[in-house]
Order: sequence, then structure tokens, then C-alpha cells
Amino acid sequence: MQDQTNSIFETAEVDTSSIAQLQSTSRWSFFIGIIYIILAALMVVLTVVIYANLDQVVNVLSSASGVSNEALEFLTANGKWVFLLMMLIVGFVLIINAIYLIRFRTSVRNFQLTNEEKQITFAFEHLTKYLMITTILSVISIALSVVAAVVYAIV
Amino acid sequence: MEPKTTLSEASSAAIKASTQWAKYAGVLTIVNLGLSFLQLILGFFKSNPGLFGSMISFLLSAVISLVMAINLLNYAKHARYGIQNGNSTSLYQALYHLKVYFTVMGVLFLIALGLMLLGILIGLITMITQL
Repeated sequence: MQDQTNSIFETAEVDTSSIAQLQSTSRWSFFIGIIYIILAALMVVLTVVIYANLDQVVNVLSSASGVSNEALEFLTANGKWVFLLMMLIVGFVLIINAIYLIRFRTSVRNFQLTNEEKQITFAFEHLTKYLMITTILSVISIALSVVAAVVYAIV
Repeated sequence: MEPKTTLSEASSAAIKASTQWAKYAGVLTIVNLGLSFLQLILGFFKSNPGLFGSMISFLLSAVISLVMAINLLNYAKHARYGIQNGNSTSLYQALYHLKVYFTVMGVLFLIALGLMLLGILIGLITMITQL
């Protein structure tokens, strides 16, 4: 049974038009990867700016309607560390995603240059990891949406 | 005769693994959309004042999410069929759907980037005129 599966796998082929599609995909993935890196860098800058001006940020928030005193006290106490942790996690996820997307592009380009079939394996391994992270993020997003919907329905 | 690259067992396995995760990501995108719709309905029953804006935003995100989810699911379906049956046409279709998925995402990022730059430009012009 295993041998039969292997023989079916070995007959699969990609032609030049399929490779052209893959190259176009990889160019977009590279672009998206670069955008992710820029976003991560912007987040670092934003975090540093907010930390450097935390007092002013708290003053602005205190004048805004809908922000409770408890929330402001939390922000000036442990809240700033929670905020820092959140920014770090989001930045880390963005960088990891960017790395996989850029590696996907690199593998496809290497295949184009060397015609080594194993580069296709590497490319799809990187793509799989990217899709895995996307799926995990979707699960987190769904969990947060459910919590938000429940809180909204109760309040 | 068009040159073709025969996929090894490792490549086929890697593509198959990617189809599995693409399917999960596609299905979860649709589930997420369903939850957003549920939130919109809740907003409707609670007479949310910003309901019209929420509806426009939901419709926009629904179209984008559906296009992306459908392309991911089509990639998974065609790639799996192509690998299992050694069908080059199905693999081509799979890669086409993968390309559309990344193109849509890239174009959205370009639009977001353009809007962000426009915002910065407007902010700078406002600052300069106020000096």
C-alpha cells in the first residue's frame, strides 16, 4: 500500500506554466514578508515612543471619555508590562511570518537558478510553516471574538 | 515538448502538508467571518449607534475574507488531487489559486501602505501650515 502511494507521488509533475505561477506567488510573498518586517520595526518604534512619553499618554487617555480611572491606574502600574509583552509577542510573530515568506521566495528563486528539485520541497516546507502560524493566529482571533461576543451580549 | 519537473516523494509530501494547513486556514477564516456576522447581529439587537459603519466594514471584510478563504480551499483541493493522481493541470490550478491568495493579500497591503503614507503626508502638511 505504501509502495503504491509512493509511486503515485513520483508521477506528479510541474510544468513551466506552473513554475511561472509559483514564481509570481513567491514575489508577492517576498513583498508581504518585507511589509511584515517594516510593521515589526514600526511597532518597536511606537513602543519606545509610548514608553518614553507614558505620562503624556496617560494624560491624553484620562481626558478621553470611556477610559476609567481603574484602567489608567492599571496602565501606569503593571499594565505597561502587559502592553510591552503584547507588543513583543506581536512583533515576534510578524518577524517569524516574514522569515518563512522570504525563505519561500528564496527557495523558489534557487529552484529557478539551479533547477534542483529539492528546492521545491524547501519552498513548500516554508509555506506550510507560514500557513501553520496563520491557522494558529486564526484560532486565537476566533477565541477572542467569542469572548468579545459573550462580553458584549452580557454587558 | 514542454520541460517538466518530476516531483519527488519529499516535495509531494511537503505540498500535501501545505494543503492540510491551507484547508484549516481557509475554514477558520470562514468561521471567523461567521463570528463577525454574529457580532453584527448582536449590535443590531442592541441598537448600536455605529451600526451602519459596522455593516459597511463587515461587508468589505466579508468579501476579502471569502475571496482569500475560497482561494486557500481551492489550492488545497486541487493540489491534493494533483499530487494523488499525478495531474499537472490540477497542480497548475492549485498554484494559480495560491498566487491569487498572495496577490490579494499583497494588493491589500499596498492599499494600506498607500493610505498610511497619505495620512502621514496630510499630518505633515497640517503641521507645516499651523507653524
